[in-house]
Amino acid sequence: MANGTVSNSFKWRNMTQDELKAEIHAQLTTRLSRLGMKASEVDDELDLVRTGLLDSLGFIDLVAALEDVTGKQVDLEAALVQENATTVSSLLRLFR
Amino acid sequence: MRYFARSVLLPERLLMSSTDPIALFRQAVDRWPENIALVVGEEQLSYADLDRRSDAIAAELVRAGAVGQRVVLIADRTTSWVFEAVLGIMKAGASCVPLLPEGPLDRWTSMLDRCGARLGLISPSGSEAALRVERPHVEWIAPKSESNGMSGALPVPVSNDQEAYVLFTSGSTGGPKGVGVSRANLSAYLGHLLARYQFSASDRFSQHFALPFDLSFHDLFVCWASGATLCVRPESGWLRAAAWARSMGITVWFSAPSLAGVMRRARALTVGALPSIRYSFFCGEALPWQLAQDWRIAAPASRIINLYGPTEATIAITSFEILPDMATVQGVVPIGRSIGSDRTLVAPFEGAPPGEGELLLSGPQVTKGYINAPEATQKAFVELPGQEGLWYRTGDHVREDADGILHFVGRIDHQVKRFGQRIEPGEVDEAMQPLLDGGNAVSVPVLMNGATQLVTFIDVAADVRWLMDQLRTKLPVVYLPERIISLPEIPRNTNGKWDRVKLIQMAQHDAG
Repeated sequence: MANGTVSNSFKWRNMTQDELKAEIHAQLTTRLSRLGMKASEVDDELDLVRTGLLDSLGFIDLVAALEDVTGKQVDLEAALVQENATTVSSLLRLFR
Repeated sequence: MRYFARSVLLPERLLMSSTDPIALFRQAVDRWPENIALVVGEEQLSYADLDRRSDAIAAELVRAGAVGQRVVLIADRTTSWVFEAVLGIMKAGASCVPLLPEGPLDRWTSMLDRCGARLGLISPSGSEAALRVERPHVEWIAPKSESNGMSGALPVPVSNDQEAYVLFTSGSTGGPKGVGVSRANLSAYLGHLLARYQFSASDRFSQHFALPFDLSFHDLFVCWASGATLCVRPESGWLRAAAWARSMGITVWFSAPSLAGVMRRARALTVGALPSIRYSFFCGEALPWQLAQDWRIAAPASRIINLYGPTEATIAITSFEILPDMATVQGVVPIGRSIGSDRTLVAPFEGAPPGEGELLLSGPQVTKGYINAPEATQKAFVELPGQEGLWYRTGDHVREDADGILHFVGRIDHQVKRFGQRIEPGEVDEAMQPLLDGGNAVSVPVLMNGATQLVTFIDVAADVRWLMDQLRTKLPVVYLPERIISLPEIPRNTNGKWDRVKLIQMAQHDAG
């Protein structure tokens, strides 16, 4: 998931929620295409881990990739306390 | 704390080994009735509560004729009920067949059919409803968890041969294989483990493993033998397992190494992050040295023990303790030596270097074989010339060093481990075959970003999306291939067999 992601720290900027969502979809593209799915089919509330789209390490890698892109470091332990933490909408909240 | 004398002497105490799981639990109830035995969600149950509630379930089961029978249980760990049910089934002298709550339904039915269970427990959540429709001949019992006046001892004599539980392992042909573990097997394990490590009634045990994995039976019965508190981690809690362990004050940790790997990746293994842990056990897959050392930084007060063992030999059969003064070595931690009276033997195979071979196991923890699968049993459980007893062939390639310590080298077959789960690629192929209109499927393991992934090659053009959707109804999520690659023809080697080495290379190349 994280492979190919370059930490381009000089480009950090605040991303809008739409840009963030597009980034999440972009990060999922390879995996989605392997499953024969399109990003548009990924509902914000779809559980990325329970559906088998990502495994637990893959999800952590996705968070790390988003940290690279946004320049934000999230405290996973504190942030992901609610149920359904492994959805797109939860990630959007995490990097808001 | 008061001491409650039990009014009825249990016959099973006279019959059973002193480390029988239920005998140990009952001793703990007698000694520490008010200790907390179980924390799950918002619920807390004392030993007396858990005893009373599981007695009520056992009484209902006995009335339904469950003694000596297999009882299916959808093992949803969100409430205390499933833990009461496991105890209730074993108290009733029946065998527990826990199934993963997420199914899929096809797998539930194949497991139920394979073990021939004719009884099932209806849970308060009703999660078994679909299975009840699929298998109407099974008698579904709705036990009242609360005591109905039948508290106390149930006069059910249980013999050592009685099966304690049935768990399923991946099979390369014919679907999942059922392993029946007897009360004697489990007693032997508990005896071995409790003699080696010292737990107390003030310990707080982690409970990470789903019940259809045998490591969960370690969680339950090692904890309850000690009068300690079993803390059940919420299913989604893997994301914040360190914070959870801190908040629960966990003192005895038991997980697959991959959970520790996720915690490290989430930056949760910081200096002293897990201060209350005094024992850390890892089992289910190879433990990397570096991960063990990183764990020590987070849990400086903890002993760290690598356990190894297949379901067929009851939970874990060898151990290796990582001592603080040991240098970090590349690769994985040794699997060590037998934890008790079971014997290990390294059987050289053709081409194996000296001191290396397949690991064979024999002794009181080794089960009798697979349920209703004589062929698979004959292949895996063998007699050896000049050696006593039945030996289980693990399929694990090991090396024995000069000190008699066993090191895991790899598999002698194609079996893959993902998140501690054994997966036979052949089982994925077999599930896919009927979807391919006469085509072939060959799955191979590929190491990507430090994790094992399955890649499946097929030799027909197919809609990958449709294939994945179909597979999802047949296999658990961890079995699903990372990707499916369609080729005009799947390469074979000079012997005419699938060229797996070439396929692995192709998959790796394709991934990059």
